[in-house]
Amino acid sequence: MSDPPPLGSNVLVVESEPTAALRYAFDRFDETEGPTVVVNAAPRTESVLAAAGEAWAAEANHVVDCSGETADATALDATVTVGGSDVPSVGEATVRALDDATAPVGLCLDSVSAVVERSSIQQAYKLLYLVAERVRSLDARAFYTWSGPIEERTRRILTRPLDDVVRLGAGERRATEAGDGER
Amino acid sequence: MCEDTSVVLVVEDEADLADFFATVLQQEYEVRVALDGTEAVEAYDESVDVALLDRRMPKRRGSKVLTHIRDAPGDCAVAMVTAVGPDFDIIEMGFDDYVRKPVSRDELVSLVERMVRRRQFDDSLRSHYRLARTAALLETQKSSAELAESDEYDRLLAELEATEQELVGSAELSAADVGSLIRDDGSPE
Repeated sequence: MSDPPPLGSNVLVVESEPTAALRYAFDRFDETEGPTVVVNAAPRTESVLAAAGEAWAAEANHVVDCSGETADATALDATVTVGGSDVPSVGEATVRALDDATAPVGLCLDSVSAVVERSSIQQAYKLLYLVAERVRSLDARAFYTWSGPIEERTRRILTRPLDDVVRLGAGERRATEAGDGER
Repeated sequence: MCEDTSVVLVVEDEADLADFFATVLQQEYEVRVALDGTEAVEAYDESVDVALLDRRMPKRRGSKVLTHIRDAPGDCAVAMVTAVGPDFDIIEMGFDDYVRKPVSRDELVSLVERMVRRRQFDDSLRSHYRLARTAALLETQKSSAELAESDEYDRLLAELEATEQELVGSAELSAADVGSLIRDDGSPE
């Protein structure tokens, strides 16, 4: 595992391969440090769990399912909170999970692209700003995934409230791009 | 009255209770009182920052007043202050907070403070987004050298930083307030 980002940092991980960003994020969490909140805001529950399951024991995760699927359909066996699938519900459930977890060290929000798809860049921006501030105040680390291509302007807007961006190319999982213009 | 004093609209058909709310709140805010739904609609304009709405009132119910407020210009935070327990009908109502009567003085002050603060965060967050969007547009159109030489771009970055200062403290918002802030997304992109 390569070095995790500093405590209190928020990183957007842009992927071109399905679940590559999730695996990148999970590779940088250390379950011995404390619980991790995994927010599933995309309709790919199985991928989230598969990636998480490979990384560490399920009991270390607090999975917040905001996929909009019913609890029966998701068949999640980790700690589960089923929130609504709208963006305010994602934000509320994410912050609640961070606050409820005892000394959370990690957050993985999958995925920002799904959030933008179901709402707007403005709403996604508010979500990222407010969650990122919470992560900083808790001294945790957060990864926010983006699946597929992203316009440069959108990337610059969405990373303004964050600290860094990592772009994962096809077949490449460690390519790091320094965030310019980020806080 | 100071120009930036927040305006609170109290909509309550029990006159004694309306007086109590007004007496408590007018120490900090400009307070307007309406004793029924029709008066509430007349008293509301876009200068109102926070509305406290009873649900059961003569002439026009609180939910109808809420619809009027949401359809009218302005971006008012609304709390239902009512003896009516919440039921499934609240899902579509679009309020920011829901408080059961009776409400103590401290609860009232805390409720309005929270809503005014959330409203201020919302304004700052929208400003921050607008500035970030403008910065991103320039950054994708101009070279690094052009940006470095631009006084306008410098001012834009300074404004972004100033807005971030206004948002200090947003990490202490409750989860419910975070949801409400994200939900208040009325301004067009």
